[in-house]
Amino acid sequence: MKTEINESRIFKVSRRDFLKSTSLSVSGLLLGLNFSCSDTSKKLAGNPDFTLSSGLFINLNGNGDVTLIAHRSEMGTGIRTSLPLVIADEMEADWSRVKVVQAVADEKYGDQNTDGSYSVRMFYDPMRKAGATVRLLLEQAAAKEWGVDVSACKAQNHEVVHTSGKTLGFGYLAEKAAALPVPEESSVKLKSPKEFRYISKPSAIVDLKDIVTGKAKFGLDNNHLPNTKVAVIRRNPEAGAGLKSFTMDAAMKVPGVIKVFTLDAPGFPTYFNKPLGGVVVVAENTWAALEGRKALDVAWSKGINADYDSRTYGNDMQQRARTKGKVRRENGQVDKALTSAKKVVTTDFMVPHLAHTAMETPCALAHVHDNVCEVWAPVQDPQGVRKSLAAALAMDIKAVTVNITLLGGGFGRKSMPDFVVEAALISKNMGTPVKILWTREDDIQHDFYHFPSAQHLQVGIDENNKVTAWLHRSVFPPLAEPPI
Amino acid sequence: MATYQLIVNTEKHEVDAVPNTPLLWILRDNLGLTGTKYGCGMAQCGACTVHLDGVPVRSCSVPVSVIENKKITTIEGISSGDKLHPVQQAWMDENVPQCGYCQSGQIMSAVALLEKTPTPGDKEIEAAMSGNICRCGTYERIRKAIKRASNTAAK
Repeated sequence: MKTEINESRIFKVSRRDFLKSTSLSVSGLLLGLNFSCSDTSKKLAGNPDFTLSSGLFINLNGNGDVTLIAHRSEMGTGIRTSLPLVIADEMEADWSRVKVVQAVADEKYGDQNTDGSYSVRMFYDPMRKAGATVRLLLEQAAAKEWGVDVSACKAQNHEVVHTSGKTLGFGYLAEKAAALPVPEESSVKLKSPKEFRYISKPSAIVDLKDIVTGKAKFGLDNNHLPNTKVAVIRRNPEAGAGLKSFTMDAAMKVPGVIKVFTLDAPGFPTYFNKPLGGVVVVAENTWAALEGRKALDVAWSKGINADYDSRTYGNDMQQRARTKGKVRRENGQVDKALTSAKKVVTTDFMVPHLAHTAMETPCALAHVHDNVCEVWAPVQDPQGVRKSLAAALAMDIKAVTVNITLLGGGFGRKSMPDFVVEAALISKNMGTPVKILWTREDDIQHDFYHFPSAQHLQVGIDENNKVTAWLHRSVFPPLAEPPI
Repeated sequence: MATYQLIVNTEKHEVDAVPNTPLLWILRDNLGLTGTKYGCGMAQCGACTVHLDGVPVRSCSVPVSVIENKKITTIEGISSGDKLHPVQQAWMDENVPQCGYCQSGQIMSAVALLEKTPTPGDKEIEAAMSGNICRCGTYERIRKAIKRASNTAAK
């Protein structure tokens, strides 16, 4: 879902909303950011009516501690650090006093779909405005306290400094600033680049120490729920096709295996937000689940792609690429240029089905109980996951909580909610918390692949080795939007 | 099922497991040491690297039945209290990690390398680290961090 911010405005949020969203005990100044967005890429997103009206929060505690909410998913780009850093810079906050808290999935945060490499482009300006607004509020609060004009007060590294040299700390000013009306946007001045404290300068990511000490929490690293079981699924090698029969006797004999059952196949085309279906093996631990799955005896149904052979398909595309197709772009006369070239290089390229292959395979922890669902998962599109879970479990969306862990790489694969839905459906069936693991083999065999393509090139070169002609033909299957 | 006595990060543990259970899942499921990661399950990516008597091994492919009485060290066990291991410190100083998922394994391989070869050259670094894949491509900073840790230790 790619959206572009047309306007953003700052508003004060109730403490209750903040508490609800982050489970933090806070006092002092809270500010939200309101994003009003319009969809600029209907063809990719398919939801033209989607409007954002939600908040990102800055919390300045009376003790001077700052909590900033990261609403984008961290998968190695540093976004969990960079956007809060932008706020801190404009706010003149001391970064060492800042704690970053990951937002849960909630539309009030605006666009959380961390896919498409646009987080900084989309949020750089709004984050700066939010930080600058807090800075101005703190300066105004200090001015009021001293009975001086605000122009004589300047926020500087976690305190406001008066021209006389006297200072008041951000913590002291927090409650006083919270009592002031939010300033008009026109009165909020952004820093000039030379005043930047953090922006454009190298910074360490907030998770650095946790990563190098092994404490960072990725998708399977949350062990806080007692009685958590582990599940793996045997899926039909043919995407979306169903199950003919299976025997579970041997699997049930594997020590630690608790239950074997089936998930329905969705048919073809497959869905981003529905499991591929198959035979589920749930066990006390990961190894038992894997050994149990190995012991399954499964016969698969055949679907419409049972005879699909990627090599035949690729060769067919390559043949077509060598013949004339529809001309998309033409400058000059390529046939003539090729005929008069000193040398012609003819070559073919083939791109196979490519899997995303993040270091961390798809995985999730889900707990469905008492008409609520809570998940901890490495996901790029938390709100999409929340909606998919609500739909799959026939639950009110408010009963679904999606906690976002660190992602061991995403590359778009973790924009699809299917694997989290799997975990939730299995947890519902078991009545216990369930972790789902995709093995590397699962990941490569059942990925949402990039489509294959074939290219045919003829390039003419003159006596100085300069290119004088370029014929480039390409063949791709259409990129179909799977049903959501 | 059998009972195994393990020494992990100098602590003694008793675990019940079937003999072919890979050490990786013992560490993660039985002992809650989640710093060691699953990446491939077939010793091809290095994300699960730990030390067995100081030697780097892929814990996904070492069955629990063969490791009794051997000293196991994981990413959680190389720092002493709040003091980071020089390799961890070098990893921080060079800002090595991106997503971070492979880095426990990278660090464990680097620690083992430096224990054996305190001042490795590029070729030795490449040889020792070739079994550890990083999908973010942090290899250049890994090399720098190893050299930095090597210099720190030499001082």
